[in-house]
Amino acid sequence: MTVPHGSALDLRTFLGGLGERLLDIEAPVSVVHEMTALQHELDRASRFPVLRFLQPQLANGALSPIPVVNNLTASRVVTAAALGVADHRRCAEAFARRAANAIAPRVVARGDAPVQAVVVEGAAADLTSLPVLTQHELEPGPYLTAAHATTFDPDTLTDNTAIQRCWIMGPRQMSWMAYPASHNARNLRKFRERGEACPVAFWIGHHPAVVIGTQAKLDYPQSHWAAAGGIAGSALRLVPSVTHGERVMVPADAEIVIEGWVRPGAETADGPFGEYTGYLGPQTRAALCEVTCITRRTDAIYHDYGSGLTDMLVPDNIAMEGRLYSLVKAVAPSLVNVHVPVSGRRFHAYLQFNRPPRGEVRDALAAALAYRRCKAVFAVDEDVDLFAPEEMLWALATRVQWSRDSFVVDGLSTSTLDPSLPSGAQTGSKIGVDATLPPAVGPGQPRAVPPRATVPADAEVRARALLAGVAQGGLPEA
Amino acid sequence: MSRLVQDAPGPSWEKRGNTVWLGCEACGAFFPVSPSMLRADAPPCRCPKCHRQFRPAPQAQSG
Repeated sequence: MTVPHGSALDLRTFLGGLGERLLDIEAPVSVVHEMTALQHELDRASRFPVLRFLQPQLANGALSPIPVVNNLTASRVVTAAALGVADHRRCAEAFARRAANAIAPRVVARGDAPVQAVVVEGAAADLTSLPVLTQHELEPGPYLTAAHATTFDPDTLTDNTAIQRCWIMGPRQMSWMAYPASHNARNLRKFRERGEACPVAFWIGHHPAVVIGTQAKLDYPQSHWAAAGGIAGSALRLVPSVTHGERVMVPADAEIVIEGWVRPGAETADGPFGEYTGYLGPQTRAALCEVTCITRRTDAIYHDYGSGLTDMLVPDNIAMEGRLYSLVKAVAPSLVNVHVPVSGRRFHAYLQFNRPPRGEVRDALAAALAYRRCKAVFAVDEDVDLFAPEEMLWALATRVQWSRDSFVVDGLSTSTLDPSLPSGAQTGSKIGVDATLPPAVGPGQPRAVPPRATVPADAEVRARALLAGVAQGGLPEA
Repeated sequence: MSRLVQDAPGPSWEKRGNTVWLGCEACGAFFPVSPSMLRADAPPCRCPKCHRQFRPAPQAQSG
């Protein structure tokens, strides 16, 4: 499959190149639970088309003229192709390399910014007119899930943009959950300490390469616009926001932008909300945002991420793979690949090595465990397929003596969303597992381990040819 | 009055739940809340079912 990388870097151009991987749903589908239920069904069936709902039905029964797209990044193949990476198994190194080669953004005039074709300000701005989804039971209402909250550091004026959820509480009022460890939360705290309102804009809907690029894991403060350009392979087009001007820039080719302020100390209850862990996070404190303006394309598309679903995990896990590759490669040159599997949410990482010298795998495991989200890290050799769960479990079953080959470290930084943490814990318990084979006895000599049971390559070719002539659907699955 | 449900602390070798559930004082629905919502300076809790805003009963509050 070829997904065109496209000269125009926007969502609609990307959708136009998807062909059969785009599933248009013409029947009315409710934004309350029904769209998300479809994603759950597809996840269970391991099928990952991009979904476009042409007649979203709002909570009041009316049909929205704004189509909804979700499952945009549920397929790892499609997501890698959007990044211009032909083999999805090679995302880690490609992402790390591109993130290090930033491309500065380009500023365009408002007339050249499709996202500002329609500008609705003041009392006319109405968040409830957007087809925003209520995804899961026990959530209090509709949530923006693919909105990139964009702020700046008031000390350095450096931008920051990150996907953070917002609960639509009224026509011009919404919560904004900036996770306390996030760079946006730091900016918000700085404005609060100054006694100033924090300017903010939320952009929605863009080419997946931009969406993933802006999720690059960077230092603070560090511009996400340039990193996104590097990952997408071309300069991101920006335009000054209507409310905040050049202080808060937004992508000119996005679909929708919501602008507003957070007054010092303005807070609200937020949640419960379905998190990436697959569980509902508790109701918690969030910023209260007053909306001043909504801008959009004339035929805007609304983008939703299925929270806690493959749709949301794949792009962020690819960004994690890039960050981990950089961190670990610095201490372990024999590292060849990294995979952050959807099955482990964001807690598990798989590292792959090419004949590591003694000590290097443990160095690598320690480096990876220092990454806040990594809770368990598994190291394997090149003969093990990082993307095949049964191969990973086979390596763990046959190459590990647990007391010799694993180590547990308590008190490391972790995601406090981990549902297994003890009450009140701010740090977690992590494990590193070395499932590599022991090094060879000497140069050019075999490793002192049993050989893997294999068949000759020509016999494999013959077997594949035989099976190709058989109707695959007719073979028993289990 | 709002109700609070949570596991009691125990020895480190026993598994204990880490989630605090709060019962809405109006409709009785239970929902999980962060300990930060039980602090005296927190904004009012908001029932996700009936949207009633309320503060947890004083004995549930901390700080």
